[in-house]
Amino acid sequence: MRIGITYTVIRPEEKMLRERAAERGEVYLLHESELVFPRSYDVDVVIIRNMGYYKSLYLAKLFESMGIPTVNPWRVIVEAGDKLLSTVKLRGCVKIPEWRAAFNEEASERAADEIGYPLVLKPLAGSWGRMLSKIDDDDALNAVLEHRKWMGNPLHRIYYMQRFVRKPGRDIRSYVIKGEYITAIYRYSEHWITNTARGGRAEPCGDERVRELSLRAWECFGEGALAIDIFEEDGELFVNEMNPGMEFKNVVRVTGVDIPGKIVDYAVEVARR
Amino acid sequence: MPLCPICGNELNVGDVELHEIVECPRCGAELEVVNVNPVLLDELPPIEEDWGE
Repeated sequence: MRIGITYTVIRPEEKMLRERAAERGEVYLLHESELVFPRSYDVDVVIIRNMGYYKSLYLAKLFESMGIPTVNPWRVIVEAGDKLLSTVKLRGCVKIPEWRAAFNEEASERAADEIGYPLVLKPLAGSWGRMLSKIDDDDALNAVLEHRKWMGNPLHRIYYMQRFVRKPGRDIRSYVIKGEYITAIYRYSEHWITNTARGGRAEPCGDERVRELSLRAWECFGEGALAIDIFEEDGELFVNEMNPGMEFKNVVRVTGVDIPGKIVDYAVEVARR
Repeated sequence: MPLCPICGNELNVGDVELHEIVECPRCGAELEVVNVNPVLLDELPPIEEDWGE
Protein backbone atom coordinates (compact mmCIF):
# COMPACT_ATOMS: atom_id res chain seq x y z
CA MET A 1 0.00 0.00 0.00
CA ARG A 2 1.45 3.37 -1.05
CA ILE A 3 0.03 6.11 1.14
CA GLY A 4 0.58 9.72 0.13
CA ILE A 5 0.26 12.56 2.63
CA THR A 6 0.05 16.06 1.21
CA TYR A 7 0.92 18.85 3.62
CA THR A 8 1.82 22.50 4.09
CA VAL A 9 3.83 22.26 7.32
CA ILE A 10 4.64 19.40 9.66
CA ARG A 11 2.60 19.62 12.83
CA PRO A 12 2.45 16.89 15.50
CA GLU A 13 -0.60 15.54 13.61
CA GLU A 14 1.38 14.98 10.41
CA LYS A 15 4.14 13.22 12.38
CA MET A 16 1.59 10.89 13.98
CA LEU A 17 -0.08 10.16 10.65
CA ARG A 18 3.28 9.43 9.02
CA GLU A 19 4.17 7.03 11.83
CA ARG A 20 0.88 5.15 11.58
CA ALA A 21 0.99 5.09 7.77
CA ALA A 22 4.51 3.60 7.88
CA GLU A 23 3.10 0.68 9.91
CA ARG A 24 0.64 -0.06 7.12
CA GLY A 25 2.62 0.60 3.96
CA GLU A 26 5.03 2.91 2.21
CA VAL A 27 4.63 6.60 2.98
CA TYR A 28 5.09 9.36 0.43
CA LEU A 29 5.21 12.81 1.95
CA LEU A 30 4.13 15.31 -0.67
CA HIS A 31 4.87 18.88 0.33
CA GLU A 32 2.83 21.40 -1.63
CA SER A 33 6.01 22.86 -3.13
CA GLU A 34 6.47 19.53 -4.98
CA LEU A 35 2.95 19.26 -6.35
CA VAL A 36 2.22 20.15 -9.97
CA PHE A 37 -0.74 18.91 -12.01
CA PRO A 38 -1.38 17.17 -14.28
CA ARG A 39 1.31 14.65 -13.34
CA SER A 40 1.31 11.00 -12.44
CA TYR A 41 1.65 10.22 -8.72
CA ASP A 42 2.48 6.63 -7.82
CA VAL A 43 0.28 6.30 -4.73
CA ASP A 44 -2.85 4.28 -3.91
CA VAL A 45 -4.48 6.89 -1.68
CA VAL A 46 -3.74 10.41 -0.49
CA ILE A 47 -4.40 11.80 2.97
CA ILE A 48 -4.83 15.52 2.47
CA ARG A 49 -3.37 17.60 5.30
CA ASN A 50 -2.82 20.94 3.62
CA MET A 51 -3.84 24.00 5.53
CA GLY A 52 -6.56 25.88 3.76
CA TYR A 53 -10.04 24.81 2.68
CA TYR A 54 -9.55 25.68 -0.96
CA LYS A 55 -6.15 24.02 -1.27
CA SER A 56 -7.57 20.81 0.19
CA LEU A 57 -10.62 20.99 -2.00
CA TYR A 58 -8.70 21.37 -5.25
CA LEU A 59 -6.05 18.83 -4.32
CA ALA A 60 -8.73 16.24 -3.57
CA LYS A 61 -10.46 16.90 -6.89
CA LEU A 62 -7.19 16.69 -8.83
CA PHE A 63 -6.13 13.39 -7.24
CA GLU A 64 -9.61 11.91 -7.61
CA SER A 65 -9.66 12.94 -11.27
CA MET A 66 -6.56 10.78 -11.74
CA GLY A 67 -8.24 7.79 -10.09
CA ILE A 68 -6.49 8.25 -6.72
CA PRO A 69 -8.95 8.36 -3.81
CA THR A 70 -8.41 10.90 -1.08
CA VAL A 71 -9.14 11.27 2.63
CA ASN A 72 -11.21 13.21 2.90
CA PRO A 73 -12.98 12.80 -0.42
CA TRP A 74 -13.61 15.96 -2.42
CA ARG A 75 -17.36 15.86 -1.91
CA VAL A 76 -16.98 15.67 1.86
CA ILE A 77 -14.47 18.54 1.95
CA VAL A 78 -16.78 20.75 -0.14
CA GLU A 79 -19.84 20.26 2.01
CA ALA A 80 -18.37 19.76 5.47
CA GLY A 81 -15.65 22.44 5.18
CA ASP A 82 -18.06 25.25 4.35
CA LYS A 83 -20.09 26.34 7.36
CA LEU A 84 -23.14 27.34 5.36
CA LEU A 85 -23.14 24.28 3.10
CA SER A 86 -22.71 21.98 6.09
CA THR A 87 -25.58 23.74 7.85
CA VAL A 88 -27.74 22.98 4.83
CA LYS A 89 -26.71 19.29 5.04
CA LEU A 90 -27.33 19.08 8.78
CA ARG A 91 -30.62 20.93 8.73
CA GLY A 92 -33.54 18.65 9.48
CA CYS A 93 -31.30 15.74 10.60
CA VAL A 94 -29.87 17.07 13.85
CA LYS A 95 -30.52 20.02 16.12
CA ILE A 96 -28.47 23.07 15.06
CA PRO A 97 -28.49 26.63 16.43
CA GLU A 98 -30.95 28.94 14.70
CA TRP A 99 -29.23 30.49 11.67
CA ARG A 100 -29.73 32.81 8.73
CA ALA A 101 -27.87 33.43 5.47
CA ALA A 102 -28.13 36.76 3.68
CA PHE A 103 -26.54 38.30 0.63
CA ASN A 104 -26.39 42.00 1.26
CA GLU A 105 -26.26 44.40 4.18
CA GLU A 106 -29.96 45.20 4.20
CA ALA A 107 -30.98 41.55 4.24
CA SER A 108 -28.38 40.89 6.96
CA GLU A 109 -30.01 43.49 9.18
CA ARG A 110 -33.38 41.82 8.66
CA ALA A 111 -31.87 38.41 9.39
CA ALA A 112 -30.32 39.78 12.59
CA ASP A 113 -33.69 41.15 13.67
CA GLU A 114 -35.19 37.70 13.17
CA ILE A 115 -32.53 35.87 15.18
CA GLY A 116 -32.10 38.57 17.82
CA TYR A 117 -28.94 39.65 19.66
CA PRO A 118 -26.45 38.46 20.62
CA LEU A 119 -25.60 36.61 17.43
CA VAL A 120 -22.43 35.30 15.84
CA LEU A 121 -21.47 36.29 12.30
CA LYS A 122 -19.25 33.57 10.84
CA PRO A 123 -17.02 33.31 7.78
CA LEU A 124 -17.98 30.50 5.40
CA ALA A 125 -14.64 28.75 5.92
CA GLY A 126 -12.30 29.12 8.82
CA SER A 127 -11.12 27.53 12.02
CA TRP A 128 -9.70 28.23 15.47
CA GLY A 129 -12.54 30.72 15.73
CA ARG A 130 -10.90 33.20 13.40
CA MET A 131 -13.15 35.97 12.14
CA LEU A 132 -16.04 34.90 14.34
CA SER A 133 -17.81 38.05 15.44
CA LYS A 134 -20.11 38.08 18.45
CA ILE A 135 -22.53 40.91 17.79
CA ASP A 136 -24.58 42.45 20.59
CA ASP A 137 -26.49 45.24 18.85
CA ASP A 138 -27.27 47.04 15.58
CA ASP A 139 -24.21 49.30 15.88
CA ALA A 140 -21.83 46.36 16.16
CA LEU A 141 -23.56 44.59 13.27
CA ASN A 142 -23.26 47.63 11.02
CA ALA A 143 -19.57 48.01 11.89
CA VAL A 144 -18.80 44.41 10.98
CA LEU A 145 -20.87 44.57 7.79
CA GLU A 146 -18.98 47.69 6.78
CA HIS A 147 -15.62 45.94 7.37
CA ARG A 148 -16.75 42.90 5.43
CA LYS A 149 -17.79 45.13 2.53
CA TRP A 150 -14.27 46.54 2.16
CA MET A 151 -12.34 43.31 2.71
CA GLY A 152 -12.38 42.54 -0.99
CA ASN A 153 -13.13 38.83 -0.80
CA PRO A 154 -16.55 38.15 -2.39
CA LEU A 155 -17.08 35.23 0.01
CA HIS A 156 -17.09 37.72 2.89
CA ARG A 157 -20.19 39.26 1.39
CA ILE A 158 -22.18 36.11 1.96
CA TYR A 159 -23.40 36.64 5.49
CA TYR A 160 -23.91 33.57 7.63
CA MET A 161 -25.11 34.15 11.15
CA GLN A 162 -26.08 32.02 14.08
CA ARG A 163 -27.91 32.63 17.33
CA PHE A 164 -25.37 33.00 20.15
CA VAL A 165 -25.51 29.78 22.15
CA ARG A 166 -24.97 30.23 25.89
CA LYS A 167 -22.54 27.39 26.50
CA PRO A 168 -21.60 26.33 30.03
CA GLY A 169 -17.94 27.43 29.66
CA ARG A 170 -17.15 24.51 27.40
CA ASP A 171 -18.03 22.86 24.13
CA ILE A 172 -17.60 19.34 22.78
CA ARG A 173 -15.40 18.07 19.96
CA SER A 174 -16.18 14.56 18.72
CA TYR A 175 -14.67 12.38 15.98
CA VAL A 176 -16.46 10.01 13.61
CA ILE A 177 -14.52 8.13 10.94
CA LYS A 178 -16.28 6.04 8.30
CA GLY A 179 -19.40 5.79 10.43
CA GLU A 180 -17.50 4.71 13.56
CA TYR A 181 -17.72 6.91 16.61
CA ILE A 182 -14.12 7.37 17.81
CA THR A 183 -14.09 9.65 20.86
CA ALA A 184 -15.00 13.09 22.19
CA ILE A 185 -13.55 15.74 24.48
CA TYR A 186 -14.87 18.72 26.37
CA ARG A 187 -13.03 21.95 25.57
CA TYR A 188 -13.13 24.39 28.48
CA SER A 189 -12.47 28.07 28.18
CA GLU A 190 -13.59 31.27 29.86
CA HIS A 191 -13.70 32.82 26.38
CA TRP A 192 -16.84 32.30 24.32
CA ILE A 193 -14.59 30.72 21.67
CA THR A 194 -13.56 27.42 23.27
CA ASN A 195 -11.05 26.03 20.76
CA THR A 196 -8.09 24.28 22.45
CA ALA A 197 -5.81 25.80 19.81
CA ARG A 198 -6.67 29.12 21.48
CA GLY A 199 -5.73 27.94 24.93
CA GLY A 200 -8.85 26.00 25.94
CA ARG A 201 -8.42 23.05 28.36
CA ALA A 202 -9.40 19.56 27.15
CA GLU A 203 -10.97 16.64 29.07
CA PRO A 204 -12.50 13.35 27.89
CA CYS A 205 -16.28 13.42 27.28
CA GLY A 206 -18.25 10.22 27.92
CA ASP A 207 -21.76 11.59 27.29
CA GLU A 208 -23.67 8.90 25.38
CA ARG A 209 -25.89 11.54 23.78
CA VAL A 210 -22.76 12.93 22.09
CA ARG A 211 -22.10 9.55 20.49
CA GLU A 212 -25.63 9.35 19.14
CA LEU A 213 -25.72 12.95 17.89
CA SER A 214 -22.25 12.69 16.29
CA LEU A 215 -23.21 9.58 14.35
CA ARG A 216 -26.40 11.23 13.12
CA ALA A 217 -24.43 14.31 12.03
CA TRP A 218 -21.89 12.11 10.21
CA GLU A 219 -24.74 10.28 8.45
CA CYS A 220 -25.80 13.56 6.83
CA PHE A 221 -22.52 13.38 4.87
CA GLY A 222 -22.34 9.59 4.71
CA GLU A 223 -18.58 9.39 4.19
CA GLY A 224 -15.28 10.67 5.51
CA ALA A 225 -13.30 11.37 8.65
CA LEU A 226 -15.06 14.22 10.40
CA ALA A 227 -14.59 16.16 13.59
CA ILE A 228 -17.81 17.57 14.97
CA ASP A 229 -18.23 20.62 17.19
CA ILE A 230 -21.17 20.39 19.56
CA PHE A 231 -22.65 23.01 21.88
CA GLU A 232 -24.59 22.43 25.10
CA GLU A 233 -27.28 24.82 26.28
CA ASP A 234 -29.77 24.16 29.10
CA GLY A 235 -29.21 20.41 28.78
CA GLU A 236 -29.73 20.35 25.02
CA LEU A 237 -27.08 19.52 22.43
CA PHE A 238 -26.64 21.38 19.14
CA VAL A 239 -24.27 20.53 16.29
CA ASN A 240 -22.29 23.68 15.60
CA GLU A 241 -19.82 22.74 12.85
CA MET A 242 -18.24 19.89 10.92
CA ASN A 243 -14.47 19.80 10.30
CA PRO A 244 -13.02 17.72 7.44
CA GLY A 245 -9.36 18.74 8.06
CA MET A 246 -9.19 18.02 11.74
CA GLU A 247 -6.40 18.50 14.25
CA PHE A 248 -6.26 15.94 17.04
CA LYS A 249 -3.06 16.14 19.08
CA ASN A 250 -4.83 17.37 22.23
CA VAL A 251 -7.51 14.70 21.87
CA VAL A 252 -4.93 11.93 21.55
CA ARG A 253 -3.17 13.35 24.62
CA VAL A 254 -6.21 13.40 26.89
CA THR A 255 -8.08 10.31 25.62
CA GLY A 256 -5.24 8.06 24.47
CA VAL A 257 -7.35 7.14 21.44
CA ASP A 258 -5.34 6.47 18.30
CA ILE A 259 -7.10 8.90 15.95
CA PRO A 260 -4.23 8.99 13.41
CA GLY A 261 -4.30 5.18 13.26
CA LYS A 262 -8.04 5.28 12.58
CA ILE A 263 -7.56 7.84 9.80
CA VAL A 264 -4.86 5.73 8.17
CA ASP A 265 -7.01 2.56 8.48
CA TYR A 266 -9.80 4.45 6.76
CA ALA A 267 -7.42 5.59 3.99
CA VAL A 268 -6.29 2.00 3.44
CA GLU A 269 -9.89 0.86 3.21
CA VAL A 270 -10.73 3.64 0.75
CA ALA A 271 -7.75 2.61 -1.41
CA ARG A 272 -8.98 -1.00 -1.54
CA ARG A 273 -12.52 -0.19 -2.68
CA MET B 1 21.99 28.03 16.51
CA PRO B 2 19.19 29.41 14.33
CA LEU B 3 17.73 32.80 15.09
CA CYS B 4 14.09 33.65 15.53
CA PRO B 5 13.26 35.96 12.59
CA ILE B 6 10.80 37.83 14.80
CA CYS B 7 12.76 38.62 17.98
CA GLY B 8 16.32 37.52 17.15
CA ASN B 9 16.45 34.94 19.94
CA GLU B 10 18.82 32.00 19.42
CA LEU B 11 16.78 28.78 19.37
CA ASN B 12 18.00 25.39 20.50
CA VAL B 13 15.78 23.38 18.13
CA GLY B 14 17.42 19.93 18.32
CA ASP B 15 16.57 17.49 15.52
CA VAL B 16 14.04 19.08 13.24
CA GLU B 17 12.87 18.37 9.74
CA LEU B 18 12.05 20.53 6.76
CA HIS B 19 8.67 22.30 7.07
CA GLU B 20 8.32 21.38 10.74
CA ILE B 21 6.78 24.00 13.03
CA VAL B 22 8.77 25.15 16.07
CA GLU B 23 7.92 27.79 18.64
CA CYS B 24 10.23 30.52 19.85
CA PRO B 25 10.27 30.29 23.66
CA ARG B 26 11.02 34.00 24.01
CA CYS B 27 8.43 35.69 21.78
CA GLY B 28 6.05 32.74 21.26
CA ALA B 29 6.14 33.02 17.46
CA GLU B 30 5.42 29.85 15.51
CA LEU B 31 8.14 29.33 12.94
CA GLU B 32 8.68 27.02 9.99
CA VAL B 33 11.96 25.17 9.43
CA VAL B 34 12.84 26.25 5.88
CA ASN B 35 16.32 24.67 5.77
CA VAL B 36 17.84 21.90 7.85
CA ASN B 37 21.57 22.07 7.25
CA PRO B 38 22.07 24.61 8.64
CA VAL B 39 18.71 25.07 10.32
CA LEU B 40 16.99 28.23 9.12
CA LEU B 41 13.66 29.48 10.42
CA ASP B 42 11.07 31.71 8.85
CA GLU B 43 7.64 32.98 9.76
CA LEU B 44 4.84 30.54 9.00
CA PRO B 45 3.13 30.88 5.63
CA PRO B 46 0.26 33.38 5.78
CA ILE B 47 -2.72 32.09 7.71
CA GLU B 48 -5.27 30.69 5.31
CA GLU B 49 -8.99 30.54 5.74
CA ASP B 50 -9.05 27.33 7.74
CA TRP B 51 -5.59 27.07 9.21
CA GLY B 52 -6.07 24.20 11.62
CA GLU B 53 -9.28 22.62 12.82
